[in-house]
Amino acid sequence: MGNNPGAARRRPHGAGAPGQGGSGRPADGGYPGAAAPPPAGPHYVHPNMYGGQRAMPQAAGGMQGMFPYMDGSRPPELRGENLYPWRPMPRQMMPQMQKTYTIKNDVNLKKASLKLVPDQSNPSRLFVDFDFDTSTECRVTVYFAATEIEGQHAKYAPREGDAEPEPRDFGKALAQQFRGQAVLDTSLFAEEELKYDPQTPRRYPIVIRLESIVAPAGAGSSSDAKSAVQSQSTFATLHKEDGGSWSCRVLKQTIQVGTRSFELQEIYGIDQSANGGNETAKADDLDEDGGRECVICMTDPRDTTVLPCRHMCMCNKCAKVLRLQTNKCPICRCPVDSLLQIKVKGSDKPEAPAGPPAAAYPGTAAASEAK
Amino acid sequence: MGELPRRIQKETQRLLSEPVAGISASPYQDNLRYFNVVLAGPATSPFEGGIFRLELFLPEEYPMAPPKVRFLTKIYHPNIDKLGRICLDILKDKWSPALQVRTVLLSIQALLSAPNPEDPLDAGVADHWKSNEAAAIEEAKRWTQQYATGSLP
Repeated sequence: MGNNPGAARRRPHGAGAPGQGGSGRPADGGYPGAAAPPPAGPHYVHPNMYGGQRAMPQAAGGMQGMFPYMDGSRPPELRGENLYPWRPMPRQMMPQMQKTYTIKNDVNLKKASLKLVPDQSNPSRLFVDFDFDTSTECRVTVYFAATEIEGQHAKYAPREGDAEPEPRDFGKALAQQFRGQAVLDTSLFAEEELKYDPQTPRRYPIVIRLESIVAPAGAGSSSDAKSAVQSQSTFATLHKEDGGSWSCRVLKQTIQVGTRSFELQEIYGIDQSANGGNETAKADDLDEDGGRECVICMTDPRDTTVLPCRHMCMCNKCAKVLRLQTNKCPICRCPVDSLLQIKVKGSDKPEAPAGPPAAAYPGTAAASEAK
Repeated sequence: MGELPRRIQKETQRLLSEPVAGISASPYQDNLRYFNVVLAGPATSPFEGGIFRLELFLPEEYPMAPPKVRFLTKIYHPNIDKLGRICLDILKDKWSPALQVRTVLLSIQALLSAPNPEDPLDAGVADHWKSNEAAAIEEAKRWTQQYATGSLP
């Protein structure tokens, strides 16, 4: 087949600036990252990238054809010409590949379901209603105008003078409804107590804690129990609408695992991928919107998320290639810290038991963890 | 050099089956990475009514590297030089592999609607644009009438 038409191979202009190709590359041997030993643990897909300069292309002999310009030189048709300055990444800037730690999430409040329903007989009383999933027995506690207790995990103090709210217990089941069991009497609170104020960052108008109740001994090994999520807290603030009615907005959700606290963050684009992720062949032929497939190869389903911007837009294979070429997210061009591969298991089932997909990583949570 | 990547096959399929208004792109049969592009000048621009031919090539590194695009029809525009080369950030440092042939061509069409003489590729045309915009636009219209006379396929 007649590949490489004239358009592809522009004749290099003699007057071009040779040596431009390597301009973005540090001096040889100057890769600060190269000396660091690979961190222990099974979660790096590519231990090779830590193995010094030659690791990547040479180790995978078959890839040579794919990355012919790994040394930072430019393809012949680009040499001496500044038309397309796209070039391989200096190695120390390459984002790392990570696989996810799986944290078993036993309790989950469906963020989008949280709403305030006024009591018909007394509109200043609001029912805090929501839907949740739990795969163990679970205890729900709803606090109003409560303060996060410093130095303790997922513990909240009610407003001074208020009694500790009464917890409600639920059996294990998915898609449970919490209706009319927590009442917020707005007449008992000052308006500013119902609005989150960043000046008092530990005080929240509404805190809903879902605790997983694990039988002390018996089912599951002790190590299982340790790694399980002990509780999930949902923090919300109220807002008074023009008509005088109240609405609420979730500020954040955190989970408590052992002594560590993580903030839950949504991943953009995971919905499409989770629903259709398993059927490569199908995704391949029938998607008009292109919502599920990797934006790069347009073939394989998406499973890799760019951090910190949380765009799930690539398949693992393309992420590995991208990593060598650029440190910018394909969607938003934000610098990439790391790439996170998430395998959605059993995606043939319409609904994953874990509820809305979210990744837990100790980014902002690091602060609460430090205490 | 191997089979045509699945992505290029798909993009081609979609370009042909769901064409964008005013843009036509079809690959040459003897090289499926090389496209014949025909672009209608956008309404209310000096290029309105013109039909512009371009060539577009998807290099071996595509989509990690941007497509190479060039005007074949002469055009009077501050960001397009005498060789038809286009000054557009997404074709250079702002390229992202999430962009596609379709989005690139839409961007080029938008560039025709919004010439940017502050970031010129052709200094002469850009100076003309900055010193006497009305006259430059008249010149662009003249070029459009004289050269961009094809028809959309």
